[in-house]
Amino acid sequence: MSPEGWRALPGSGVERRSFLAMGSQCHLLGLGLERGRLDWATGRVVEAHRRFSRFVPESELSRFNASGGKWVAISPWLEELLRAALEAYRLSGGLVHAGVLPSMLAIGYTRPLAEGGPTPAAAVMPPPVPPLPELLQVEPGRARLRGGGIDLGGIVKGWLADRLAAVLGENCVVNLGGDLFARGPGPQGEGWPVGVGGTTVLLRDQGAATSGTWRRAWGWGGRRLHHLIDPRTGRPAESDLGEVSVVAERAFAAEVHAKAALLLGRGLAPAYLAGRACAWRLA
Amino acid sequence: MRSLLLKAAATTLTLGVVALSARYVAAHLRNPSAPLQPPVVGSATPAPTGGQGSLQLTPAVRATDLPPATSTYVS
Repeated sequence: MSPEGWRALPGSGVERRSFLAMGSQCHLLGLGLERGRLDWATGRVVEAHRRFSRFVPESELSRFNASGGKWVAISPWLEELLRAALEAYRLSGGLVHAGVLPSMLAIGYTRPLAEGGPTPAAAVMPPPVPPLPELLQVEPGRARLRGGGIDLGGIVKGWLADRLAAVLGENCVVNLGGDLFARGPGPQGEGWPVGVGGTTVLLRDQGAATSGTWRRAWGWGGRRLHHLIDPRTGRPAESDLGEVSVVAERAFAAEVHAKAALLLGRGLAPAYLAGRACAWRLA
Repeated sequence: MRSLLLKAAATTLTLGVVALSARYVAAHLRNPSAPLQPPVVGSATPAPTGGQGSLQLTPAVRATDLPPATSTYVS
């Protein structure tokens, strides 16, 4: 049944808000929320896009990427997110790497695909990406980028879903482009029913995310290109998996582990996910 | 004469090595059902349920027949 079908269930009482932000469809759901809370949360998502999108020239991230290797003052939000990028790198053994922006630009992912599609890919691809801690240094109130560029698109939705759910209400779901956190007992006290790869599971204080290579993909010069860069090669990942969904204790962790598992491929992903994920689907 | 002896010795040695190697290989056929070496380290996590391409569940997550309120998806 579709989310609309759920909304039609009598007596569910679930408030719902759907909107486009961060280049994705976002959904906020809640029970017993304070008045105006969904509007407030929607505003926070839109604000996060303005601050952290590399496609917005005046965003704080764009200014940071243009800082030329100098230490620059950053907001607490960006500081926390850059620390999260380093945490994602550590959690994934280096596979989830926010410093792959040069590779993304080289394959032509220079603007949102909904706004004109990719630009021509470079003839020469950049080399494998250096370790993120070598590129990015973060200290209280300031940070330095020593070469390359940062793209936070791979972690910001899960990170923000966790943060928003923590303040939106005690019984809510924040779903930002498929990366979601379900907080509280849900409508019937057993958790929020969430679709994961065609199966519905009950999530309570858990996150879920899906990573795949079939969206944000295009062809160029006889090659199939997509946005998921393998930092080991600096090129779009060549995985035998097309899509990975993960349930974990946080949306951020689910997002990181889904991407790492997809990069590892069908042979290694199950061993990687065992002990890290609460549930997963490889396709 | 000496060079001829050397050539013969070298040829004999080569043929001998080939014959012995073939015999050794034939006597030590790889068992295709043998476990991978080194063995994969076992996980403390309970074995998930489900098949290839289906959702693998641990006891931390339970499936339900309820309709989904929302879903995770590729974006």
